[in-house]
Amino acid sequence: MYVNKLLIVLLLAFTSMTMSLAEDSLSKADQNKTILTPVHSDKVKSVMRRLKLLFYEREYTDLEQQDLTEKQIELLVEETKALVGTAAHSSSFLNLKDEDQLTFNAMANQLHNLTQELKSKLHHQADLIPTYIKMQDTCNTCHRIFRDH
Amino acid sequence: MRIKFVYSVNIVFILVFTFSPLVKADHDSIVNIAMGGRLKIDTIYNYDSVGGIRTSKADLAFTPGSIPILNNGKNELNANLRESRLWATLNLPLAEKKLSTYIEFDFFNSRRDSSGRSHVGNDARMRHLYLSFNNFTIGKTYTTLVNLSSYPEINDANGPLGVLNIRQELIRYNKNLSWGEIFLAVEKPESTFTSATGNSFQVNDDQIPEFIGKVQFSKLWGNWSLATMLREINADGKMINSQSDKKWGGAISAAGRILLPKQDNLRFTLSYGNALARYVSFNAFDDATIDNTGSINLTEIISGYLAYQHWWTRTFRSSFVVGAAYANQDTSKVPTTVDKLFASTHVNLIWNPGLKSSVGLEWLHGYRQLENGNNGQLNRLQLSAIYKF
Repeated sequence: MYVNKLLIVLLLAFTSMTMSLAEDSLSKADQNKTILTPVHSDKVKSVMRRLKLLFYEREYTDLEQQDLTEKQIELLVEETKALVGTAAHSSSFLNLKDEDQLTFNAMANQLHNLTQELKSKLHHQADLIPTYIKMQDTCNTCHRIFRDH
Repeated sequence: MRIKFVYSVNIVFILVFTFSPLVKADHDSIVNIAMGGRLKIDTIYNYDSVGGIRTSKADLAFTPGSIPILNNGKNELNANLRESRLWATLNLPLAEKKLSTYIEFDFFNSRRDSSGRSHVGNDARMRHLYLSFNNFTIGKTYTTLVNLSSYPEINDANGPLGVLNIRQELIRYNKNLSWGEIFLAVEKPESTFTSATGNSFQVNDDQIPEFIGKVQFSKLWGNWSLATMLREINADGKMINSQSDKKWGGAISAAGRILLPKQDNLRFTLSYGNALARYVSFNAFDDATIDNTGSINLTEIISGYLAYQHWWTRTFRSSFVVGAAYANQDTSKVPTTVDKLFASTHVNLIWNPGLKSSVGLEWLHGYRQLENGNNGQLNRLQLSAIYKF
């Protein structure tokens, strides 16, 4: 009886995991079209994911959560700063029109400013989430705009 | 004495709560005091109620030993707010470093009446009280053996079978390195025994602290840790008059979180050792068995769980968790009615309707097997709502 239930749960987990992996390989194929994100997005993406999971942690103490969040935000500040630098010089290795170059610069700067905003709200965990959502939206908007290039 | 201590801590907590705005106003640039908490409402439907006098604690938080072998229980609907929490943090710059203190309460304190029968009160229970300064942590918090990052997101207060989740007094040193972090700790000792009649007892006469070391590796794809522990299990002649016996034992534990595509992740813990028992699922097994001559035999345990979290959308996610703990009991010293295997499965769907709130429904299935082959099961549905403030 128990073994049957266990098998059902394992089957559910396996099916969900397989579906996710399939979805991911599709989205990866789609991302190959993107010319701007490969530079730094892997690290930014990974830190953003870790940060999001931290918002939903239940067992860390508030103090531990502050410390862990601080570490991730420090990484984000570092990475987005590098992204701003890359954006400023991207015309030399990316074939962008002038207006696209300006948009890309603005987006990179906005992302970096938002990470600074996150840093200033560190001691108020609940206030971090709206800023995080703005960051997510900035990333998504940038990907949407430049995916067709 | 213990009750007096809890009340004293409560008073300090209330004082901090009352005066914190003043402190903050006066010293905003120097001292940072923050208060917070969460309101958690649990509605639990037990298909197999543990029963007992008034509400049994085991009906509210999954306890492996409470899984009924003879299923005489009836269905039961229950509700409580005992896993609500209140916390306060204080950060104080000191000698160009930061001194932090933390205190946290929930309302899971259970008292016994004069007949020794336990029922659940709503009294505050201290979960954490510690101080951190210059890579040192001193106080009561989660044991160093655990990797909290591997803890799955579930509604039940006690976690899946195989989890290492005790909080105890400790002194810990940690150091951040480029590849991760190392931890070294001495923690409060406590030995638990199963007697020749199968009863569980503890002597409270331990003399040597428990030594725990851990290395945690952090990568872009997640993190994993390897922890090891050394303990002395000491019977101290309490059970059998003047027959004293003690043994050294150890344990290792590997745990981590692997980030999968999208927001999904895999969390796991696998532990093994002959001095692990007290740390597994709230002392699911005892550290050692003791016979009528007072000689002890350490209990070998293997335990662990695997949790897969899938994000359906940005705010909806599910966790699928399977956990188990197995003990190699010495049945030449103890009766065959002692526990041999525990297992549990948790499946849930959790939604965040707002930035600070979440609602989740979870199904829990527990299984218990004794050395004599008898077994029992428990099924539970739990609806939880959390609001953080």
